[in-house]
Amino acid sequence: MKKIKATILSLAVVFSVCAAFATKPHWDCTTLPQYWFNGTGYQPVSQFYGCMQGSTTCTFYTLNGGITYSPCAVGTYNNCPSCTVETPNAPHINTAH
Amino acid sequence: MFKRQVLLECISALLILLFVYASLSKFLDFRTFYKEMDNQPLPNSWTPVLVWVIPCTEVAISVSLIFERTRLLGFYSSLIVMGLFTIYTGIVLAHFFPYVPCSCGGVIKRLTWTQHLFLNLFFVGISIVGVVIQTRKRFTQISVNSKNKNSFV
Repeated sequence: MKKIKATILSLAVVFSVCAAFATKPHWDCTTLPQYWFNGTGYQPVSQFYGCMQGSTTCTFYTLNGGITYSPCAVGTYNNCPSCTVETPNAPHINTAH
Repeated sequence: MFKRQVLLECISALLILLFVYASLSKFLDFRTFYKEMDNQPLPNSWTPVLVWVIPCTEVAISVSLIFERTRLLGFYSSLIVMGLFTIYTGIVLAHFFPYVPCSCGGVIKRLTWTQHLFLNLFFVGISIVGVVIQTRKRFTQISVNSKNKNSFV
């Protein structure tokens, strides 16, 4: 009985260790489509998004078609960090000559 | 008796398989696991504790299931842990939280929440079977030992 016990249990341990290493994610999550959490749901990120300084999760990715999302990049999500917003009262400068 | 013992070993092996795999997957991708825990609807101040407590508990249960002396404790711990995970899955399926990113390791995170619930229920079931068989076995051993003692008197 001891031999059977040792065989079954060692097989379980070896198999689980091998499976854990075999299924270890070896890809860079940023290569997958990125999503951001807008407070109610997950939205695809904009083309020019950026992750600003912060300790929260900036973007997420999904492996099961949107059933669950896993964190990817750290920071605060910004839709377009390089965009300059034109204020309505700002004087208009005509650069065309 | 022999069949029951083999069944007990198989149940232990299945639980060891689950807990070793789940804990090792968390340790191997610790950064992601940490971030996933941070995104759970629990206070973020708990994260540094939970990221160590959960996988270490899983390893401890696996070790306790290997040895005969601690096996009953292992089955009870497994029942409690899997019961808690099942309740959590049930709460998620009831849409109690606005969002819940999965916080499990390896391929288990690819399951849907319903599949997750059934997996958890299966392991709760086999933990109960393990507790029952192991308890009966203990009682049988105790009664045999007391009979042997009495026969010497």
